[in-house]
Amino acid sequence: MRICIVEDEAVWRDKIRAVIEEYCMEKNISAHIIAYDRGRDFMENADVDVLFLDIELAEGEDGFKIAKKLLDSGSPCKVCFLTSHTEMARQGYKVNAFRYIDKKHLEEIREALTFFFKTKIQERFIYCNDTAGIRIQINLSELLLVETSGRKLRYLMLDGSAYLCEGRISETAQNLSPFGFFYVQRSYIVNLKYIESVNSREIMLCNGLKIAVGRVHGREFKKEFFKWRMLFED
Amino acid sequence: MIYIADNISNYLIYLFIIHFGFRLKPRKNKLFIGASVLTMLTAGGYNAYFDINSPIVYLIWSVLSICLFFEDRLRHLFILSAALMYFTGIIDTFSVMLIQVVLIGGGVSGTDITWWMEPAYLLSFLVYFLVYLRLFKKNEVYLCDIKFKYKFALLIQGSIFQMFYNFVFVFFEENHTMYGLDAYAVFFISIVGALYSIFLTLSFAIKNILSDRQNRELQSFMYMQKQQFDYQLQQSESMRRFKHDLVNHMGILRELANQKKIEEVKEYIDTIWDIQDEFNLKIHTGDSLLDVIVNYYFYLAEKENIDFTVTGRLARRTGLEMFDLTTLMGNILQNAMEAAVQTAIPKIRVELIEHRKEIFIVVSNSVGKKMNTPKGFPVTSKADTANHGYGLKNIVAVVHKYHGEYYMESIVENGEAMFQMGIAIPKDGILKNSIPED
Repeated sequence: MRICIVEDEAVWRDKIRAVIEEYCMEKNISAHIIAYDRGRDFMENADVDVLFLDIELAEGEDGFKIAKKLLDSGSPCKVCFLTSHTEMARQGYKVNAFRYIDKKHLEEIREALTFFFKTKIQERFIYCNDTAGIRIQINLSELLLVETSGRKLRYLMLDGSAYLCEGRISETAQNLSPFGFFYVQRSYIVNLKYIESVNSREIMLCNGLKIAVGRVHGREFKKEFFKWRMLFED
Repeated sequence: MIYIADNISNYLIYLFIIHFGFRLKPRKNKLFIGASVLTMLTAGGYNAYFDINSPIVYLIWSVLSICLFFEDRLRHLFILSAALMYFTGIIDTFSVMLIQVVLIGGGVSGTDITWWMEPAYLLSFLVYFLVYLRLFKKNEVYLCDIKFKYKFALLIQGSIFQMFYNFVFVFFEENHTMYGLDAYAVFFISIVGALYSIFLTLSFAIKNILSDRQNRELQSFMYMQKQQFDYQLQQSESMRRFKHDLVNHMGILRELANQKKIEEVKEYIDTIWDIQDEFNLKIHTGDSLLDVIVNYYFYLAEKENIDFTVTGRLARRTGLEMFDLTTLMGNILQNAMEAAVQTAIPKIRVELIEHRKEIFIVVSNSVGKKMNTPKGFPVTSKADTANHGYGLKNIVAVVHKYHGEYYMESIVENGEAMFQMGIAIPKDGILKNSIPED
């Protein structure tokens, strides 16, 4: 986990670093924290997971412009703006800001990090045996759905590849449910992150596949999908 | 066979009225449902076998089959089925008269059931269906919401009409040759008029309920606004007093500085700083209207020793109209306060999350014990149930107005029972109304 702070004032930089360090120590999270006083130094090595970025930097550097460059470069980095002027926060909307941290309330950093780690819940692997008995590693964040295929389970990945493995769908659904997967009907478990649209009877996944939602699961699905939409940026 | 067909059509009409009009749910146990159907069919079989149309048998099977079919208090079901039997009897009388006039062009004597009466039941059903579509479903007010006095008035009104038309019909029957067909045309129109007047009475009762609902919403809104205004007034008064004293504070500071008492100056500034900090809004949500509401409840929570936290911030105003935002957040936070204050470790947590397409607001509060919300609505715990429970309905109405979604859930968090309400409002509908923060 790489966390970066870009703040021109050393006092604030240290304070922010201290809050992050304390949080990571408490939660037993291994994080590499880097701090810069200038945006251009950060941009030279912008490969980080979370960025705490001051809006008004020294030498006329603008935090929004840095975030815009980062967004345009396709970086998945989550940007948390640091500001003393909450009214400036609305500009952050244009650059897909993750959070706006009020410098007077640095405890907000903890909430931002907690939320960030929740969004990373699918960044893990599961293992299953394929029909030849070979152990397969499956990246949950890339897994689109699991479906029954005869007596086997078919794991369909985002890139279209698929693995045929042993297992029971109900057990797999139970194991995957804490990680943003939902057992929509007796043949399908879908990744809630990849649902494109929902109507009262069926869901459509990002690959265009339509799946009917079982009547029994309707209400529960609605609730779970709601909660996961909250976590994942659309 | 006609007796069985007659029972089935009556049975289906009862089920329709009770389920869609009174919003009662069928029993989950299929055995009861089977017993209900069996009762109705047995009664039909009995009538067919003995070729009689016994009112006692009719009364018994109707009440018994309804009590077996629906999930409710037995006493309520008993009264409901009896009243329903009486009312459907009135409407059936009118339908039968209409059918007789149209198809036969005169009265048919005798009380036996005949095949031509079945279209009359269909006509009755169409009347109920029309009432359901045009009054109940359209206004989202159902028979179960209507006060007893209106329901009673409908029965009396129907009875008077029925009695009157029975006499008139008999009179026309006896003097058919004297009056001719034109009199039947007038009779036909006046029967339709009687049905229409029943329809109007029902519509009046529904309008009354809608108006009561609106009044309650407005009263609740005004009350919340008044509370928030009083809080703002109090803050503003304290601020004025502080400003008034500012000159004195400056004088003291100048004097302390002249005397080179730097430590005392620092101490004095710290004190003034703490005082002025009291006037600042403690919570900044990103929406100035929401700030007023949330800070007011934060102030109330502090007074009641409730741990009140707000996490997340919005990038811009929600775009919800003031009335709607006050109704939505005021009711949610009011409910949360009332529940939390009764718990050993009272706490309220508000989470604000803004995504590109939606705004999420989640309010969690501690509760005495985990609540069961089988229908999605927790039942009011207040003694005066008649005037409570509207808060949630108002919340839901606002969410629906903005094409949003909501969920309610009882959860256990770190061993503590909590109630959680989540709301998602899509930006599509509200973005065009959004006013940037200044």
